[in-house]
Amino acid sequence: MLLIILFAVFAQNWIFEHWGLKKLDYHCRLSTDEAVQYDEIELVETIVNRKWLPAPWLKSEITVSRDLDFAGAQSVVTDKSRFVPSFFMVRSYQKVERVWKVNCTRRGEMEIQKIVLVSTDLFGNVTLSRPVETDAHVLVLPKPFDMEEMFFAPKNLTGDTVVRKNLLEDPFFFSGVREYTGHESMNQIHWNASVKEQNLMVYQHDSTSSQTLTVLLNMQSRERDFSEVPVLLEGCIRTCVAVLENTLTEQIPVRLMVNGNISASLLKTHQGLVSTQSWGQEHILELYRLLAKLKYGISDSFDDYLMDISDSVTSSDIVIVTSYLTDTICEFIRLKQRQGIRVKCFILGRISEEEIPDDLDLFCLREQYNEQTQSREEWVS
Amino acid sequence: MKNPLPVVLKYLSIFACFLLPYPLFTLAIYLFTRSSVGLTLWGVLAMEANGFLGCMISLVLNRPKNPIAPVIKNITVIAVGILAGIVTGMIFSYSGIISMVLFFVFSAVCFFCGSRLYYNHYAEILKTMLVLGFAFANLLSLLLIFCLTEKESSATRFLAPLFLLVLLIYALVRNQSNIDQLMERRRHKMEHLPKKIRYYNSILLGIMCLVTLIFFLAKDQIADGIGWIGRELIRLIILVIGAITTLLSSLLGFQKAGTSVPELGDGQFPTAESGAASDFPVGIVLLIIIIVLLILFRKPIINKLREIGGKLAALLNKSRVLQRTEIHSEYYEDYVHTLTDEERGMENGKKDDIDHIRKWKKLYRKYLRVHEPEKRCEMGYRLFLDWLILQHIDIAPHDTTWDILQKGKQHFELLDGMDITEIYNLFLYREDIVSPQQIESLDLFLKQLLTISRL
Repeated sequence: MLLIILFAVFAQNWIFEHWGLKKLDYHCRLSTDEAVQYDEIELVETIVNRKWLPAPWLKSEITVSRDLDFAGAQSVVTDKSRFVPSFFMVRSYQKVERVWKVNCTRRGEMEIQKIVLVSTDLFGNVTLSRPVETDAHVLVLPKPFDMEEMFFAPKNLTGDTVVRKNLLEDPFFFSGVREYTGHESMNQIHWNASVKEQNLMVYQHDSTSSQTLTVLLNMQSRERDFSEVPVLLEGCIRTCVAVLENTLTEQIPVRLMVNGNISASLLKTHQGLVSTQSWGQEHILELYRLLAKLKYGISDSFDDYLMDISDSVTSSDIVIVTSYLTDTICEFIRLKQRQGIRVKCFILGRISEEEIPDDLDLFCLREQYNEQTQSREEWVS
Repeated sequence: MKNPLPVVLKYLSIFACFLLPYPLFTLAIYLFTRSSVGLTLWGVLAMEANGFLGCMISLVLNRPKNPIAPVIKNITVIAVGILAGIVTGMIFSYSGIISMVLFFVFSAVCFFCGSRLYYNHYAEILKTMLVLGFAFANLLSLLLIFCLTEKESSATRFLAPLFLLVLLIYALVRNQSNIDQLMERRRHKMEHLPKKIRYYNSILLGIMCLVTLIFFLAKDQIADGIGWIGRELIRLIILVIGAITTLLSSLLGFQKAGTSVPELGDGQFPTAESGAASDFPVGIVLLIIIIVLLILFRKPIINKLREIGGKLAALLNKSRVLQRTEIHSEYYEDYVHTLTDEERGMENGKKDDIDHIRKWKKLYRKYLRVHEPEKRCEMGYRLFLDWLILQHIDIAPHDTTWDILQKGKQHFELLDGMDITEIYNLFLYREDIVSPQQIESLDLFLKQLLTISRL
């Protein structure tokens, strides 16, 4: 009898050792490869047992980016990763599909980093493990701020402002009719108006300028300190997204310029991010993707960056999104305003009323967001 | 309600623990009193009762907010233990003074053990060493009693069933504690474990124990069966050897009068008396033909048998209900379903692929052995076509060689079959002589196929 029992135990060990993880297919995928911040997506685990031997206890250890929030208390969060154990019991010839609800708490490129399958026999004599290859990833796009709710202009500008005007009139733009002066060519005569007025009338042209926008994003959190404050930087990015979203309705060509980049190697070579200038849904989506992939860190300090790009920014409008305000930024804005360019500046950091210049078009975060910087992100979400 | 499983397992373990002294108790009773099996069973009851009494005393004394000092608690346990032992001894005093002493000792020991085991976790009560010791004690008892009586005694009748019972409880406790350990090792919380996993493990364990029991009960029949198969195999081998020898001797004309080839029928061995010299050994020839046919057509036969098996399984599966359940947890949702026959069939497709790969490799090895350039060219192109079919590329009979190449390139961009197609076309339609350089490029191409598909 002892021999039979020993044989049974050894046979059990041998069977589980040899067939425990054989013909056991495991897949893990994310329901989408692109999502917007705070969206809820699905992480689907599928286990198919294609053999008669059941798996009495099976665990998949999933390691994902920490900002894919799921499994609540079941997950363990480290500095960069979220570790989620998932327990199964799989009968013979059975398929189990487990759907986790995942919240994308932050923008960026998220991925399932590693999965390990662990199984055992009935008595714990045999422990089997197998790494599972997966390339599931999702790009989480930043969610735009509600600009009207979040920002206010502390000093509304009144009075005249300089506007840029071309010397030559636009021949395709008609602003009205006027009397013939004797210098206009024949094709400029407005015959209908002439008959009506019983006098020669000609087309009145005017100068026009095409509206283009450049969004300048500052990835530096503080003026004299290069350490990153994620809350402020994320706020800047979300403000940028909101600005870009607003251009969609008017189809304004837009360009994004950042003193940061999407890869650390480019940052080391002091290369800032400059997008193409275009308009439309596709272009804006592409800019969202760039913003989603932005890494923390700067190519140059924002003051230096502004100096470098000052001549190359020739659009009719500029929007600056920054965490702080410096004299250089103010000077840049004034310079551009003198050139007839409309400049708006969104400031995400704390700023006292005395620091705000009277002649600039600035927008600050409303008081309730400024009071508690840490909880602001939660409030907005 | 708090999970009752650990408590149940704890009391089960304690129960099994008090069965452990049974072999020693039986041996002692038998040695000193030559008493019947009835007394030993009373002994088991007494040990269990005293053990659980010890547990209860510990439970009562260690209730929360109990003001009794630890010293008094210990003294109480000692006093009650001795008293319980004396009472048990007194109850069984009718069977003699030695029995009384034995009952007293075993009961008191069980009582004190019970009072201490109460504090232990269920996984720590029934340890492996204890069970091994128990098995050893069982063997020792059996051996000694058998040596003394020289025949099977009624005293040993309950050793095996109780041993099995202890083992069953041990297996259950081990199985459940294994789940606990796996969870605790990585500090996972128990509440995250699927609800039915413990129950399912117990069921699996039960099936395993049942199978073991069936093997145990049918051990004689199994041994007989194995013996029969062995004997028949030996007989068959002898038969075949005899048949070959007979056939050889009949063919070579070595037989002489009086030592003629015997006729073999119904599995009989050839004897000196049987058969005449002129009789043709039909049975042997038939047997050889059957064996040869079996070897030659082994694959179709195996496939046919597999098909019949599959049909039988399908017939059985008709009664099977495909389970589809949904389990909702706080964090996830599970969708569980049994695989359909089609889903299981996918596995057979994979097996076929493996067979085809094996065939392809065999043909490739054959190709390497061929030296004639023309034949080699033909075989090489055939291998290329087979390889494409293996990659599940549809090749129609009307496809030209260039069509086939294009289809291959659609699936494998790295495929460089231009040369081989050209060589084959020139050889087939212009009857060009295949040069050694061309054969070399053909070889390289086939090697490339091996690396692309990692066959």
